[in-house]
Amino acid sequence: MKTLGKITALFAALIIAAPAAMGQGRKELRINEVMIDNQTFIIDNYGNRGAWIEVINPTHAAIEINSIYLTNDPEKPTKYFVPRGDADTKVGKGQSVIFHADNQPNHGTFHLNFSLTPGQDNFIAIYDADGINLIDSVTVPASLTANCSYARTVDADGNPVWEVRDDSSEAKAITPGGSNDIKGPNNKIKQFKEMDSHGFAMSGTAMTIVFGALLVLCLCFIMMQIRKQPKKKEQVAETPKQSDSPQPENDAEVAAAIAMALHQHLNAGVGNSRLTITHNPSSAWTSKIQAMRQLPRK
Amino acid sequence: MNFIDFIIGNLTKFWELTGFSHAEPGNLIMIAVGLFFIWLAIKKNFEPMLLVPIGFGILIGNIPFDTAAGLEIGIYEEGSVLNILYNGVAAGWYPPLIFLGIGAMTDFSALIANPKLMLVGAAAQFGIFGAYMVALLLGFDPDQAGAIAIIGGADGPTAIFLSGKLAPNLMGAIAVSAYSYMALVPVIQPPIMRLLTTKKERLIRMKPARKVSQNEKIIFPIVGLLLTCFIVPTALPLLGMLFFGNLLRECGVTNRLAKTASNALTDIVTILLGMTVGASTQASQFLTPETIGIFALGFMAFIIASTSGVLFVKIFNLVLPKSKKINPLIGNAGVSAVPMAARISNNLGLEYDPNNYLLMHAMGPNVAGVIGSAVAAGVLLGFLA
Repeated sequence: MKTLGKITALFAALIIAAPAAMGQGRKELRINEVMIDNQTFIIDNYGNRGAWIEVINPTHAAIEINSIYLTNDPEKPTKYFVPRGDADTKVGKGQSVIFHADNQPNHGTFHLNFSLTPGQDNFIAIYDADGINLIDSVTVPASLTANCSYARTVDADGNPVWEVRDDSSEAKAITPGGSNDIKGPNNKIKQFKEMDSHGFAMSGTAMTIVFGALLVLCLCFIMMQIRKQPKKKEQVAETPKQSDSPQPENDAEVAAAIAMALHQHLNAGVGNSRLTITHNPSSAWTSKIQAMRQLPRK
Repeated sequence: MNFIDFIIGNLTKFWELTGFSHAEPGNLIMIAVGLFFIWLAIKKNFEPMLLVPIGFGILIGNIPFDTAAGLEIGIYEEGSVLNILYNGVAAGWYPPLIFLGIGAMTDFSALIANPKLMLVGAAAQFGIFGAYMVALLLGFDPDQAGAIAIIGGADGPTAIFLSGKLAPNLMGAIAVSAYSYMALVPVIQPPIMRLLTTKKERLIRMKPARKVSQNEKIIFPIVGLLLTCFIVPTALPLLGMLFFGNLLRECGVTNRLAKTASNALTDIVTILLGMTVGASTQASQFLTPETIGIFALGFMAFIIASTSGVLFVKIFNLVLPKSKKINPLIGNAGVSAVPMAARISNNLGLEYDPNNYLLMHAMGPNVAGVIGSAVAAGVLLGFLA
């Protein structure tokens, strides 16, 4: 029964952990930017301009995207199958890939078998390899004009805010294959330089956190000790009830008695030998020998 | 071209490939530093486990050669053997492995028995932030200042881990500085301890702590990990491995794993870490005015850390009952140079009272210092990365 209980607990743990494990990897892929009517922007490897879809891997590990599906029809989730066997389908951490929606799948892995139509709402979705689980989707509004992209303001943001970009400024830059939010130098460093030039805030905050972390640990173990103490008293109080015979005062006496008995047993024919038991006071708390390593020689 | 010209041409080319033709004063200075480290380790017994690999690594890293020849032999040349070994430092995976070994070697009983000693370990971390403020004054950027200041934690692996993330360009100097000061603990700390304590304080005898149960020892790494890493998740690689190693040691059912982690694995990583850190100090990268600044700041951080540990105990004693006073000589052990700092406390205590053994008491703040410096590194990483 015990074994059965352990197996059940193990399975329960696996079932609980499974969704979290599935949450990793390609489930994190996101449609990051889309252009429907491409007149002057990127050209594909056949010299053509067309609609494109940027898919980003926002995780900190490479993701293999083969076997996923892209579609522009919610009724047909398995419209375009990303083929296996192409080394380029492994997307590096934080990297993105561009799919050309040109209805020319024979042009390569990243050329879809559907196109997108300007002047109408365009639904785009990515489905997992089973063709059932939706990974991400977006509907690009019909109002999107030529040479404008529809992009997330922040790469792969969990609560996406989409905006129309026309490349008129840095904030409105169209960035196929690049990050939507172009990052400058580390803002944190800049802020610390400006706001805390002497380091008082950092030092105060950090020392508070260090003290806080160790104080919590300290209090936790002090509380454990306090809880343990009364239990010990109860045990001591209960002991006489268990037996009427006198109890040895401490472990050392028990050990001495056992040692004496063993000595007498093993040396039965020795005659008038005397056994002297001395208390060895050296322990890790008092021993010079156990002082781990010697001091450097001077 | 006659035969003689051919031979001379080849010999000239060979000469150009030798270290002699590329030697610069910087290389010779660094080789002298490496030899000094080896001398300190062998002759003076100054932390030989650290200084022999680092010292010899300095020799390896400063043999001059023609970098333009693309021989792929230098530590900074991608694909070279040394570069592959250096990846553990550059990518920061040696330090957590060292922490695994430290966890598997460390008995936290002293700390569990007397939890208030954790605060001494926390107080000593002021060395880190004192140095941070001075580094800012000297004109270092906040991220560089944070990476340099961690030397005050007296924890080589943590210093390497943090500098690899915040200031990779300064990592060689920071690592060598951190390990040098760790080795110099017996020289730096005793004068500070004598200066800040009275004879009466040095004679304080602390009661041996209670016996810690096996259950408490098992609970400690689990609770320690959960509490500290929920507060500072950025310290997870270090604290996670530290507490994991300790659980392997204490749980009683993974003795083989604990033995490997505390012996073979730690030895292998120490060899690789020490040697590659030493080799990363190529004169061209290392001999800069910044390095001198880093060494000066590291020294100062170390002094502040030791001072704040001792002073904290003195202040703490003001509120403790007479029977529970702490000997301030264990305050220096709040820096996480395990077990060197605790040993200094013990030896200095014995100097004034031959029967006053402070080692196990000092191990409390010492191991708390390991946790404290990892938490401090996590805070700096969280704020500045």
